[in-house]
Amino acid sequence: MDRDDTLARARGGDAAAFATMVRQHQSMVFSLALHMLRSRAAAEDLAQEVFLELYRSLPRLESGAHATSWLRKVTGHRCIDEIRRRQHRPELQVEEMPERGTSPVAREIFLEDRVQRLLADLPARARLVVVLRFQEELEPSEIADALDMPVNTVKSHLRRSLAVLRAKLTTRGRQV
Amino acid sequence: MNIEHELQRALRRKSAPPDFADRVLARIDPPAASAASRHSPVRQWLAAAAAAALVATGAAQYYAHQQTVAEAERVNQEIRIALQITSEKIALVQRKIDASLSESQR
Repeated sequence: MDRDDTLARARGGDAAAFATMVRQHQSMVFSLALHMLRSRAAAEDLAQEVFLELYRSLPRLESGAHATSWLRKVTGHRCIDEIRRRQHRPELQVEEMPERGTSPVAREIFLEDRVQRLLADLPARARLVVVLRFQEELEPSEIADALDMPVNTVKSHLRRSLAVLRAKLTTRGRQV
Repeated sequence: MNIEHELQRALRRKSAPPDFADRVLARIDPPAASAASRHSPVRQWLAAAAAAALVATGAAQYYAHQQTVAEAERVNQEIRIALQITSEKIALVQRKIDASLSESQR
């Protein structure tokens, strides 16, 4: 069964089809929220709200592809709202703050955590552009569609954000 | 350091928590499902039949009550007429007794 059929069945009230839609997209939605909010609990809450809204919006969705882009857009906007509303400070969890180790795996985890923490310092919209580019591997034009933003603004966010991250990573890399 | 490579690695998709989908489904409005069964044709027919039975029983009881009231009124009226006739007869007899008594005294 393809995604269009699943959507059609879910629209017809088939709970199993809707469950399939949730499972198909849960990793994308949860990861977007997690990378934006840096809190597993907040990310799960937000992702659940997004899927509840998806359920209410089923009649307006035209295809499986439309559902995917709708989920990206709504998750992104909700993340920005959440960050602005609460002036969200990332809740750094113990498992997300590994000690710097000497093994290659430990160094990799340490670097990954550092990148995510630097990313959290970016303004919300710029952060979302970076997350959509590198998590979802979207092209600037697709990000522009998802965020209702001019393509040039997307490119500008990407260019500036990468420059900031590169500079901070290099500086902190020398300091650590 | 390749920043784009590091970003791809740091931002790769993470798995949602176990049972995430089940928790979402559990939050979907349960009345939506029960509303469907509330409005099923069988339930609607049963509800209509019960309402009709109640109305019929009430109407029958009201009619019986009205009949009883009318019958009681009719009996009451007959008793009044009977008492009135009896009273008039007694008065007539009394007058005849009084008349015969006064004739015998003369």
